[in-house]
Amino acid sequence: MKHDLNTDVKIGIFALIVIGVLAYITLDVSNVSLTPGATYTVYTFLPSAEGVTKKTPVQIAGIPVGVVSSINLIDNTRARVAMKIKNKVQVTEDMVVNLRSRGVLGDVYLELVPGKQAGAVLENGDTLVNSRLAVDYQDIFETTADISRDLKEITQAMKEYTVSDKSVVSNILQNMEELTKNMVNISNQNSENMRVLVQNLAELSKDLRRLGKDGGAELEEALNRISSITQKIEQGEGTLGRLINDETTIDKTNAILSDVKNLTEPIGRLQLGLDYHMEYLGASSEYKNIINMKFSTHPDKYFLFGVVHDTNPPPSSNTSIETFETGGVTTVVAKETSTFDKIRFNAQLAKTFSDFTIRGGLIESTGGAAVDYIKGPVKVSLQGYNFGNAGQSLKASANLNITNSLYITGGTYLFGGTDSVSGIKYGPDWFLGAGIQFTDQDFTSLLGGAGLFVR
Amino acid sequence: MLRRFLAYIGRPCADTIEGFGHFFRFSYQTLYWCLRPPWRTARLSQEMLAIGVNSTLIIVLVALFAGMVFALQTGNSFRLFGAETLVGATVGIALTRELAPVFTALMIVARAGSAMAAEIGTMQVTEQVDALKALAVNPINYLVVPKVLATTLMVPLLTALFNGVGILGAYLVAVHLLQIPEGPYLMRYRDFVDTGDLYQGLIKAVFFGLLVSLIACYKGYRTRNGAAGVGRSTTEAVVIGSVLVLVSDYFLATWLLKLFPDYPFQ
Amino acid sequence: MISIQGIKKRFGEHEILKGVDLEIPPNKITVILGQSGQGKSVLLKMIMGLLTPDHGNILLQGQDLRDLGHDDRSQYAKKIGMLFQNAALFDSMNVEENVAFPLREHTKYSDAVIRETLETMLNDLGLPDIYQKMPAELSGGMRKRVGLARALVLKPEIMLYDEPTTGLDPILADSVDQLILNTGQKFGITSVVVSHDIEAAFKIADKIALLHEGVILEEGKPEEFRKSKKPFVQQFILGKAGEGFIG
Ligand SMILES: Nc1ncnc2c1ncn2[C@@H]1O[C@H](COP(=O)(O)OP(=O)(O)O)[C@@H](O)[C@H]1O
Ligand SMILES: [Mg+2]
Repeated sequence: MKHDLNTDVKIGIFALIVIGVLAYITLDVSNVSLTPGATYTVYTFLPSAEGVTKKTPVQIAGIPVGVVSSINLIDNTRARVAMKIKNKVQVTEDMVVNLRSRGVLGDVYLELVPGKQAGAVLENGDTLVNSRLAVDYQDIFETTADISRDLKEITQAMKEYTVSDKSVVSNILQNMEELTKNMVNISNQNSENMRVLVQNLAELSKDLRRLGKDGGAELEEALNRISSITQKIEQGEGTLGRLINDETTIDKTNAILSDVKNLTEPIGRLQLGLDYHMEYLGASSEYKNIINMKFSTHPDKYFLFGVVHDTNPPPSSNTSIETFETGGVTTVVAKETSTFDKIRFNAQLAKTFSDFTIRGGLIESTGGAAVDYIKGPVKVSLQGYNFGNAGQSLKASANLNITNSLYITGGTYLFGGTDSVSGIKYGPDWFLGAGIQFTDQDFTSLLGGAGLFVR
Repeated sequence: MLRRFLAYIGRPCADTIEGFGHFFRFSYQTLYWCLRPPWRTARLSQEMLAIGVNSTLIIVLVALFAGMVFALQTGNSFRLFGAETLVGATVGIALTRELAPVFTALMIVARAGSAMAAEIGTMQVTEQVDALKALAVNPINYLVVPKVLATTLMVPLLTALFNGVGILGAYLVAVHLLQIPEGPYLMRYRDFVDTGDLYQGLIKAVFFGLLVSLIACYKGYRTRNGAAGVGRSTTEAVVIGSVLVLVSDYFLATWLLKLFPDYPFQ
Repeated sequence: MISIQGIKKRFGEHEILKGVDLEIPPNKITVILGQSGQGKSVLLKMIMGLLTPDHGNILLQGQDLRDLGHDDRSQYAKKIGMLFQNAALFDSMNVEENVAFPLREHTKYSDAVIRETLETMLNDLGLPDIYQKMPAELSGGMRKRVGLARALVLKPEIMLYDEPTTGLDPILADSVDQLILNTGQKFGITSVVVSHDIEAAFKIADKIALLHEGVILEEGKPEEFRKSKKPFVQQFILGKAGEGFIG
């Protein structure tokens, strides 16, 4: 058999093409920057690695910095996740690993969130101790869409209003600010500040009756703050914003909004109630600011939207420390049950039966229900929410609280109560607070003008 | 009674065991002659052309349509729950790991395996194999080794081609026909498909190439009884080859998934 | 030269050779006669080493075939040329490639030398201008002669012919007989011819053996063979069907 050159040329061309195809696919699918040697491995523990697979992305500030390289079950209780991180990215020990989900498909990624103060840089094989579970965004994206829309509407309306007359509300807010400050100090000098608080509340109530003249700047600032949150959400910043601006969710959101409209449309007049209160949680030394908006479509029905803001959540708040023994090494894992860092949302439907009001929906960004009993200046509320977070049992996560409120005037009130009275997880906590409430009728009466939210 | 029964089942059993023995001896001889001169580069080129290069068109056709129909079906079903951007990843993984090596091997069994069995079988019954021996040329070295080597080399190459064309076909249908957004489609594809998937497929392809060519050559080499025997050998080569590709694929997949693990609890 | 000792061979139930003893003298032409299906081809393939006997030995210059290692066996095969009953041409190659095959396999001859060798060989056999033809395009006689050319091209010491003239017309058959005679004499080749052509056997043979029912029934020089007392030998020479012979 003679060697046929023609044959070899054909084979050569064929092999070149095929090897080219292979090389192209290989380079296309392989993340060249993540070749071994260019990465180091950092471990973390998760109570639940549901949805995490090999190659699950690891991000810092939304930028991919690595991938999950392996997952192991440890002690039959937790998942140990190995993350391959690019060498040029430094992981510090203060970073918290957040298991997040993205989009409607629910595929997850790990977000490394830097802590308040920079910690030591981790080396290959080190372990990140702080981890947090995922939020089930699917459950809440529907309501958050509404909230942002309505927040914006309210802000708009209030802005319009303040242009015409700023003074009253500004004074109220100024007083609220002082009130807040005093509440903060309660932890230090308890009894002394209680006295000041009462004083302030008295002043506040005076302010409500008296019309001030100026001080619109603070009010505008406060309103700007609310509107900037709304804007951020609209511009797609933050996970929530991304979710809301996700093309696929918009259709669903629209459907929900039209449901809300159906709720409001048969009623000729929409009444607005605005409620601001602040509370101090004793055991966990946590402060919360809460703004709720009430849309009353019917005398015995209302729709409530609200934002809960932790002014300064200490790292240990809502956090339980658990230690695990693995082969002689003790690992500390911080488990956090709060689903949002600083801002949580309320969205509830309420129905009144004589002295009782039943509310249900989103309480602090989790599902929940509540019963209010209102008789004269006294209000007693029983709230239950946060039933079953991802990977947690109902018992471990559920929040139950009883609030007793006393209305000093028609619009200002003091309240106190116990949180998680079931005491299953964190033990009972106590809280104290003060608040202010007004409806658009208040505005009308105060200003002698027309209703704010007439249709 | 019992003796007749034993005789009845004993014969096929013994034949099967003997057949296994023959096959492994044949495989051993093939390996032996792979490592021993003369190395027939010209014969190898000839076979690579016949088995590999000349199969290009059919592989391209099969790959294109396999990728296209796969994308069409997954695209339409995934759309039901809004996951159509995953089509690229799904098709990519399925192609690189399974479809490309298996389809290529089956096409090669049908196209080249049958030809090998028929060619060697005909040469056996017309004494051409004896003539080679009489001319002091080892028929395994001359006939079998180039075919087996060429197939073992060419099936992975054709698999790589199948991958490329199949992925392209899926892309065309997904992005241009089903209007799946290109960016997310490609991102998902690149996220999920890994070089490990490619290697898995190529390792399978090497094994398939070796397996189907050995079987085809063995069946041809054992041909007796004239033209009818050639026909039977050819049929058996194709049937046994195809079945063994699918059966061994399962075991290979199991082992290869151990070698390239995706998920921790497998 | 070749000594066949007590060869037995069975295929399944059927014992074809039941103890064949035969001496093949060197540089002579030995013709093995026998009816169809008596195992002549089987015997020839055993000498070639293509089949192994169940019992008995085949010694070439005192060396047992089965004791040969791989390389020796290949050396042995190069020493022996064989013309198969149906020529066994490689049907994927044309005539030129078929005949040149042994030269390309075992020699380092240049293309020109190979071409020259082929030309003389094929001209001698009366086969000019068929170099590019494929075996399927050739007649039976032509195939046989191409097969002969392929067997002779390496100039073997021993030539085995399996029915070289069967299927040829008388004139062509005679020329092939002449060729066997000539090559035998010219190169001093030991030839073994299997045939049932009794006329040709007497023409070319130095020794004749008759294979019948698994044994060599008669052997000897042609004149001795012709005078054999055995009835079947006489019947075979006269070409008559005996009692109970069907066909
Ligand atoms: N490889 C084989 N397998 C089984 N039977 C065979 C084989 N080779 C030859 N035979 C049988 O041996 C007998 C003798 O065949 P053969 O030697 O070709 O006869 P002949 O004398 O006509 O050349 C025949 O009956 C044939 O069927
Ligand atoms: Mg014969």
